[in-house]
Amino acid sequence: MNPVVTDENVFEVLDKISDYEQLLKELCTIIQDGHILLSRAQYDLGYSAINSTYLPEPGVHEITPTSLLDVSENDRFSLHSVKPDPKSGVRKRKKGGCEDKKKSGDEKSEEEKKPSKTKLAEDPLNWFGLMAPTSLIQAQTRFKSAIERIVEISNLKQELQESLSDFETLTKDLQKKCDVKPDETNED
Amino acid sequence: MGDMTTFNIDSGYFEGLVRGYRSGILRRNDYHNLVECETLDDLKLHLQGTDYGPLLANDPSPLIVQTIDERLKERLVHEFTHIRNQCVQPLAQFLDYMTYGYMIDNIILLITGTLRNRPIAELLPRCHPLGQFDELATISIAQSPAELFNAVMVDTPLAPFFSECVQDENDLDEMNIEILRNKLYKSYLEDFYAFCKKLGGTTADVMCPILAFEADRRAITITINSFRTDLLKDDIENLYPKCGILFPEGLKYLKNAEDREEVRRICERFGPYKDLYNGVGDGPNDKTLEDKFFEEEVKMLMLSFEQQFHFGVFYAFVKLKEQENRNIVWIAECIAQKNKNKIDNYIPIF
Repeated sequence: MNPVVTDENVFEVLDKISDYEQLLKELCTIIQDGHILLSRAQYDLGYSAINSTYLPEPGVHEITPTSLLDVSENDRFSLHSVKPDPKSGVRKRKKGGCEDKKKSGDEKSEEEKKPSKTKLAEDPLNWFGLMAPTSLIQAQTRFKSAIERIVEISNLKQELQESLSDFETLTKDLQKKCDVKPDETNED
Repeated sequence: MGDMTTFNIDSGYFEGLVRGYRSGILRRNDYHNLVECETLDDLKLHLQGTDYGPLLANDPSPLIVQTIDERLKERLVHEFTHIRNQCVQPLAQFLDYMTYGYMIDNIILLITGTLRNRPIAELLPRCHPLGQFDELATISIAQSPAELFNAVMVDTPLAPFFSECVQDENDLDEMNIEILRNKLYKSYLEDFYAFCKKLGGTTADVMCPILAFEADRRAITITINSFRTDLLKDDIENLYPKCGILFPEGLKYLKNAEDREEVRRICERFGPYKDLYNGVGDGPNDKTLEDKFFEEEVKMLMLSFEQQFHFGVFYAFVKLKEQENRNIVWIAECIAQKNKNKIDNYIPIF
């Protein structure tokens, strides 16, 4: 089969490059907006209310992811959000104080031996309290859409690499054919 | 109090001081200059030409925004402490009341930090200096509100505000901490309101509407934020301060509100909040509800300076300086992040 490099091949690659650049610009804008909204949240509540003190510590706190990344057979990524456990919503919990006190010494010592991680609220917004300002909620939305963009960019980058690779292969084959042809004419 | 024949005996000098401090608050021209800055060093240079003077002179380049925030806070604390150290009763008690809100924030910060396994040495510098008290460092030993009260808070000025929380034997997890914060603040606000009412005169005339607005602001914000939690309606109602204009009818409606639109309709029924939601939205040129609250608060605080011989000027000065600090830090953040699209989203005072 004669390799043919058509305009469509070229346009396909150029379109993908253009889309890739566009998505990168959007990602930069989204992350920029997210950071400025975080600063706005600090404006509304003060530095003491929005700072790293309220963040969980890995290894100490059990952090539940809000989204999971799947990898398909053809190495394409897809994101799906994890539904929060209805029992772990933000509500006032009653302490099982009496039950704790009645536990035997042996049971307590066994439990004390196991290092238990503290479970925090699943929605990171709730780490900063009940009075989270609108800007913090908007910042969270922006960073979530940044993650979606990153997944899109990764998939597009893979498609672009595949298209570029196909394009290079076609071009090389065509080059080989062009190199062979002058020999054939000479023989004629 | 507020009698023009007796006020100046004990408090006239301090009112004069506060009015002097007030005249140093940045004007629109100053903000225009700050907004034009390209770097934080330019901002530092322009601040030297204002009442702040050599505020940042001892901080080497490159500056960070947090340093600017700390220096601004130090200046405010210095001015407040200068007045507090010299005044007598009842102004001293009034100024102490102003610090209780910061104490509550510090307590919650320490408890939350302890829950996150942060060392106390890391947490104490983050506390607001106006909310410092001797027992602050021992907060981390408490496991429940009852223990917190019995072991630590019983001898502090905040002890009276723990009456609603001391029955609570629940562990201090993150949700209960938040409920504790709001209950403490509710008790504090109601107590402050009662104190101002008892002072009477112009102080009561000026301070009671300001505190009522603060109470309503908290009620509306708690309601809107409660939509994304599983808190019961009765639990939410227990967090509403009862010294606002919305008490009692408005708070009943707010308790039963199901979404933000309903909260908007409830606010529109009450005269002072009829126009609160004008211009509020999620669009790029819309304001947030928090911005509208800040604007309304600034208007009320500025009006308090139109009257003399009352304590409201002290409260207004501290809150206006805090607003100014927020404005300067916001401008600094926009400059530091090289994102000046929303640099004009500050609330000018003059």
